[in-house]
Amino acid sequence: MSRSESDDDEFESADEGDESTDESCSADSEEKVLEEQPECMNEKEEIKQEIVDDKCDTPPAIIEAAKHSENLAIQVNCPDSLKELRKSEEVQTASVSSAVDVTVNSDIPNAGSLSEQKFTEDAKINQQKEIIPLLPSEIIATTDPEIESVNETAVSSEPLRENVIEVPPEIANKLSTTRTIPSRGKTRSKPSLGAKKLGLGAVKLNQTPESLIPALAKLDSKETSEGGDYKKTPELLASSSSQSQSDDGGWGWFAPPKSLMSSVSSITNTILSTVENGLNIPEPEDLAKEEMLYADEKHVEVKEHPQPKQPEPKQPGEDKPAGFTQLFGVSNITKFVESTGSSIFSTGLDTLELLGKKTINVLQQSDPGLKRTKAVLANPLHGSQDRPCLSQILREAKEKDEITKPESAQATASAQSVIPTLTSLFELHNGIVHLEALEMLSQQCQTRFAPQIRRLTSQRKAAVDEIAVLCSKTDDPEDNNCLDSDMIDLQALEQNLSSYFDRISLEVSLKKIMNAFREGISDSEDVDPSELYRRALNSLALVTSLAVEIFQKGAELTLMANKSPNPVAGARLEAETFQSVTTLLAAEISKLGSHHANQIIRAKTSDQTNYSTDIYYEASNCRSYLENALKLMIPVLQSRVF
Amino acid sequence: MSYAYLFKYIIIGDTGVGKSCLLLQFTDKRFQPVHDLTIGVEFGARMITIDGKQIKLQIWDTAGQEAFRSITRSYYRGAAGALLVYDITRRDTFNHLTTWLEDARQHSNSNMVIMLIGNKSDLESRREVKKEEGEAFAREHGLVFMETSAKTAANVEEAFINTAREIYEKIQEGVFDINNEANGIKLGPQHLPSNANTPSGGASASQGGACC
Repeated sequence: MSRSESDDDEFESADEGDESTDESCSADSEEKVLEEQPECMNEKEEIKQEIVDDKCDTPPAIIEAAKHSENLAIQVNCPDSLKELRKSEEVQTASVSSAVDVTVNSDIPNAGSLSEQKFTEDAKINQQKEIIPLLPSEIIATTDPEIESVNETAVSSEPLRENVIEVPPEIANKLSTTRTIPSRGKTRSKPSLGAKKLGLGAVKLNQTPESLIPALAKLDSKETSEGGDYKKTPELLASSSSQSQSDDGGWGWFAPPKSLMSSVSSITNTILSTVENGLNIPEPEDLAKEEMLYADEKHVEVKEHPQPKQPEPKQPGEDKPAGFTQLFGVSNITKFVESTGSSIFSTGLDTLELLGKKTINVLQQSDPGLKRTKAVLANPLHGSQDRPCLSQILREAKEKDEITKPESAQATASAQSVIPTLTSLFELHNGIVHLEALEMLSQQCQTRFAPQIRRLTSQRKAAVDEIAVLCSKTDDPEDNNCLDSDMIDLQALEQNLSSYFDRISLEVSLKKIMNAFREGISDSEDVDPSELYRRALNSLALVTSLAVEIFQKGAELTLMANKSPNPVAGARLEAETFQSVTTLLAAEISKLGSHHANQIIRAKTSDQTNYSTDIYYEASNCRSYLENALKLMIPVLQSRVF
Repeated sequence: MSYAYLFKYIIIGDTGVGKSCLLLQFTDKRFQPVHDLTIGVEFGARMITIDGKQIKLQIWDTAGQEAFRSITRSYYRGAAGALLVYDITRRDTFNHLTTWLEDARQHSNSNMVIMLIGNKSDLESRREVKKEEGEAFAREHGLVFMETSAKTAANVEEAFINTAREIYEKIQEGVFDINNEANGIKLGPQHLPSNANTPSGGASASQGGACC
C-alpha cells in the first residue's frame, strides 16, 4: 500500500496541472518530518523520514533548474538536499550492506570521509547526467518502508489515491502531444527530461556555468515551493506507465510493477552506492568538461530518442484488453529499467571495471590465486539458486574476519595456549627464508647457464641430466638401513655428515643442527600431551630449518668453490653428496618424529593418538621440505658442469 | 607471529663495517665484539610497529667479502629497503659506496629505500670520515643518512625503523604495489582489507610512471 502511495505520488506529480494536490501531499509529509525530527534524533525512523524528506527535496531542485534555466544545470542543486542525500545514502548502504560496499569501504583509506566526498561529487555527476532517472527509483526504494511511517495517519494517502485516478487521462494527453510535437525540448523541458530519464544518456549542458548562478539564486528563493515543484521529477514513471493507468482507471494494477521497481531500484542502489564508494571514479569536473564538449551532439540525441521510445508503450496498450494492462505495466517498466540500466552501465562501466579489479585484489589478499573463491562460486554441487553470490562470500569473509580478529588478539595475548603450525614454526626458525634464498640462487644459476646448454658436449650434457635425475629422487627412509633402530646416534650422524661434506671440500658448519638434534631427543619431563606436542613440532621445525640452511649454505659454498679439474665428475660427486645428505637428514628427522611420538604415547592420555599421528605426519612434511631444497640445488650443481 | 606487512631488507657494505653487528643489535639488542665472517647471507627478523600496524622486518645480512659479491647480488632482488653501511673509521669503506650503490640500484627494484649508515660512531677518536661527508653523499644520491653505533646501540633502532617508515609511506602513496612480491613487501596474515592500504588501481600506473 505504502509503496503504491509513494509511487502514485510521483506519477501524478508528473502532471503539471496537479500541482496543487501534490503540494498538499508533500507538505503533509514535510510537516511530519519536521515534527518528528527533533523528537528522535538518533532513531532510525527519523533518518528514514529524512530520506523521504530529502528525496522530496531533491527532485524539485532538479526540476527547478530544468524549468528555469531550460536545461539541466543540475549542479544548482541546493546544498542542503545534498547533505541530506548523503545521509540517506549512508542509511541505504548501511541497510543494504552490499558486499561490494564492504570491500570498497575497507579498502579505501579513511573510507568514511572519502566515500562521503565521493558521494558529494557523484551526486553532482548524477545530477549533471542521466542519472536523474535514478532519483525516482531511489525514492521508491527508500521511501517504501519509510512512507509507511510517515503516512501512518493516512492524511496524505487519500489525496494521493484521488490523484491517481485523475492523472491518467492528462498524462495520456501529454504523451500524445509529445508525440505530435517532436522537437519541443526547449520550450518544454518535459520531453527531454523524460528522455533523459529513460536513460538515453542524453545530457543537455548547453548552458554556460555562469548561467547556472542565477538559476541557483532562483532555486534558493523557490525553496518554499519545493514541495509542489518536485512532483514533476518522476514524470517519466508516469509517462512510461500512463497507458496502463488510463486503461485500468485505478491504482490496484500497480502492485506487480512496483515490486519490480523496488527490486530494480535496489539493484540500481547497489550500483550507485558501489560506484559512489568506489575508487578511481573519474573526476566529476572532467566528466562535466566532457559533457560540455559533446553537449551539442547529445542534445541532438535528446531530441531524436524520445520519439521512438515514448510512443512505443502507448500503441500496444490501445489495442489490448484491460486484462493485459498489468503486463504492459511490467513491460513498460522493464523497458524503462533496461534503458536506465544501460545508461548507468555505459557511463559507469569503467568504474565498475575498476571496482571489479579492486574486488579481485581484496579477495586475493585472503585467498591467493582465488582458488577457494573459485571453488565456492563454481561448485557444481550447489544449485544455481544455492550458489552464493560474491556479496555473500564477501560478507561472510568480513564476518569471519571480525570473529577471528578478537581471536588473534587473544592468541597473541596467550600464545601459550595455542599450538602453532609446523609452517609457522618453520618460518619462525628462518626455514622459509633460507628456502627463499636458495631459490634465488637456483634461479640465477638457471638463467645463467640456460643459454649455454646447447653448446655443451654430449658428455657434459649427460652429466647435467644425470644431476637432475639424481637430485629429483631421494631414497625412501624405509629402505635405508639408517632406520634399523629408532634411536638417533648423534655421533654417527655428525660423523657421516661431515664426511660427506669433506668429500666435496665444503666447510659446512654442523654445530647448530647437531645442537637442535641433541635438544630434540633429550627426554622431556613434561607429561601434558599438548605441551609435548608443541615441543615436538618446534623441534621438528627447528631441525628442518637448520637442514635447509645447510643446503642454502652448501649451495653458496659450492658456487664459490674452485671447480675440480674434472668438472663433470666433480659436479656429479657434489650431486651425490647432497643427495646422500638429504637422505640421511630425512631419515634422522623421521626418527626424531618417532621419538616425539613415542613420548606422547608414553604420556598415556586420551588425545595421545591424534597427537602422535600428527607428529608422524608433520615429520613427513619436514621430509618434503628437504626434498624441495634438494631440487632447488639442481641448477646450482648443474652450473658446476659448465 | 601475525603481522600486517613483511618488509625485506638487505644490509650491504664492505666487509667488517659491522653489518652483522647492526643486525644483532637490532634483533637481539646485544653486541658481539668478535663476529664470524658472514657466509653468503644470514637472516634476522624483528617485529616493529608503525602507525599501529605490526610490520615484520626480514633482514638479509649479506657477506661483505669480495668473493661473495656475485652470490650476494642475487639476493638484492625483492628487497624493499637497503642499509648501505660504511665504517667511519675506514675511509676505503666510504670510498666503495659508489660501487655498492650502483650494484644495489642495478639488481634491485627502483623504489627500494636506501639508508646510508656510517657505523662505529662510538669510535670518534679514530674517525676518518666526517659526518658531513656522509650527509653530502646521501644528499647527492637521494639516500637517507644516519650515523650509528652497533656497540652502543646509538641510532640502530632508528635506522631500521626510519627505513621501514619510509617504505610504509611509499606504500601509502601507492608507489609500491604491495601485491607484487618483487617489491619486497608481503601482506601478512594479519592484514585486513579494512587496513585500507591497498593501493588503488592507479597505484600501479603511478608506479609505472616512476619506473619510466
